[in-house]
Amino acid sequence: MKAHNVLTLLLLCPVLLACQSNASVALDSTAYVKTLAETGSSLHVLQLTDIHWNYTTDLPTQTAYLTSVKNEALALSGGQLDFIMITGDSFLDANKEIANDLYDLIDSWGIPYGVTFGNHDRQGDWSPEWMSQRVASGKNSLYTEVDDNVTGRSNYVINVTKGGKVAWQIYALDSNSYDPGVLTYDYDYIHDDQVAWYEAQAEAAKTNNGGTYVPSVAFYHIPVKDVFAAGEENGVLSDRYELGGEIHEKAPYFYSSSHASTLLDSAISHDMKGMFWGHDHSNDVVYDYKNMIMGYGVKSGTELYYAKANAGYDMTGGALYTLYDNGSFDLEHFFLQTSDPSAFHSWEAKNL
Amino acid sequence: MSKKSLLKYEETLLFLFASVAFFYGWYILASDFQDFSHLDKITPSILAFWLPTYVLVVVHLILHPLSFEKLRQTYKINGIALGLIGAGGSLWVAILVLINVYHGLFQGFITPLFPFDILLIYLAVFFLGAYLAHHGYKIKKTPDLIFAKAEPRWAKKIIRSLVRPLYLFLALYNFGAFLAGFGFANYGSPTFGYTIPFYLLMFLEGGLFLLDELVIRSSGYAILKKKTKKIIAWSAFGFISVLVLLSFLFFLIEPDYLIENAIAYYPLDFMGGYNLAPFITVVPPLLASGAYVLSFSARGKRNQ
Repeated sequence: MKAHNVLTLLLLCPVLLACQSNASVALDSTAYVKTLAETGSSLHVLQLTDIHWNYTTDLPTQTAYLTSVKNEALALSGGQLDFIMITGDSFLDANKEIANDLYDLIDSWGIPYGVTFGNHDRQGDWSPEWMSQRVASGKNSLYTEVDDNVTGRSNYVINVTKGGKVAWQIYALDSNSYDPGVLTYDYDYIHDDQVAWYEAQAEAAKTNNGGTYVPSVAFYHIPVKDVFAAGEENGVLSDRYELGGEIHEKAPYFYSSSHASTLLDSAISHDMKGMFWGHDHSNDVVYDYKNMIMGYGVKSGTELYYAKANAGYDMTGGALYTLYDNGSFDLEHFFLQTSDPSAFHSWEAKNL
Repeated sequence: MSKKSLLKYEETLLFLFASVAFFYGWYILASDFQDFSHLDKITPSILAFWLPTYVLVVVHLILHPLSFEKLRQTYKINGIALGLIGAGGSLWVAILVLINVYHGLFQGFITPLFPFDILLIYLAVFFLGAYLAHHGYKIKKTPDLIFAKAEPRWAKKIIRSLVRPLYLFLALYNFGAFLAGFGFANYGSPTFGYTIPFYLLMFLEGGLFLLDELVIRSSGYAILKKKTKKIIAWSAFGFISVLVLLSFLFFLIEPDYLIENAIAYYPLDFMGGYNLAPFITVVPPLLASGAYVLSFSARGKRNQ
């Protein structure tokens, strides 16, 4: 073979490797769906977010802290905590041992859980595939990843069933990581094909529900640009919080992508009840926009950075959602202090 | 095998080890980059991970001394410095274990043997330093010592003394990331193929340093024909240029390929939101190989 042919072949290798395509999966496929049976009169969901275990983490302290958050949620839900949703940034510059420690801990609680990835979850000495498989392999994990053409990895839905009927849908959406520029990176967002996937799933559930949308909530990591605009429109940034919470991030307050996403409009038109995210550790504001409740969870633990509330306590803990069969829900943000586990603070909003 | 050849093999092995350690040193630092509030706890690890780089520099100075007196100074000064760092580091780790900042000598976490392994590094560096310092006082001038030519022009000397260490640090980081990356590369990604030229550039950045250190500075290279040297220089420059062009081309086709496949390699980029990785990976090998080619052109013109 002539030298230039060999060179051409070598140069083509990366392109050929890059041309491998993922399997085509129908957007409304049940491959994306996991089921969770509701056993009581309501379903209690704990949102943990931005745990951020890393090389500097004092593992015994943070293990005890997360366990106390879970125990508090268990107590607040009358001993029936049904599901835990972890909304990204569980790590930051860590290794597989640290990742295994965290997921082993969460698995040891014996409560079903889901994970949606944040922008920092790839910053570790693991591949995204390893992380996905690690999360999926947990014995209580409901994490699902379909080999598809939809942007992101953690796009899946959990159908909460009661009496053979889907009572609620819990959506996990991957807000991805970064959007490249020339010299800087912007945060990424939920892309149009992901919104199309969500719509297909919501429509499929509607069809199976006699033509009525199933009540749903969505969890993801990076707030999309549109929810910030909705927050501004709603007066959230001028201290007129509709439901509760505080904003301590500096301007621009919500660190979202500069790209607009169609998610918010789509969610409203598909009768979604609420969407919750993480990402900005110092915010926990929740507000109402066109009959949709949306906002931040509560940073879980002190790793990386966290804010002090106006009342002086650490804004670290968890967010608890109680989903009722009639399609309404309650939410409670509770704050536990690493330095003083007995100190408890919270605010709540009911019948949303 | 001559003592110098043995040192070169040791330097190569040390380069491989130092590069991976250097990369992980930055990785640990990145985890505290937000506010540097854990430096008391992580500094011993970072220093231990960066110490092989210091030893590598010392080995280079021993391999390429400018004079006997400078060689003796290299042994003495760096030996004492390494000894002090090794002793201080060992003590620091021991104290952190005793006051329970590290939960035991085999706490694990950063590495499976942490902090025992970094204690071993400090102890090894202490003994190495003691040996070098001792050797510095005992060494005698012998005829087999070969000294490198000092750069006579001050401007060039200053530029070299700034550019070379900077290149070394970037090359160590990328080479270490490349080696460590075998454990966490995103092999299953549909865009993995696009990343291959970028990975090769990461490798070649360190590869060029080793080429210069082990081949170009060797006596065997000095006796090569000028034409052969030119072919080596142009081949390196040409190959690197093709890789750079491919990396850029693939970026135009798939702007997300580095985000998809390289986040784990460049934690500081993604902490600060700065897109530095392409520049520190593409520019140094391109400039280094370009300078190599230019050096022949300059010599050619001077000879005319």
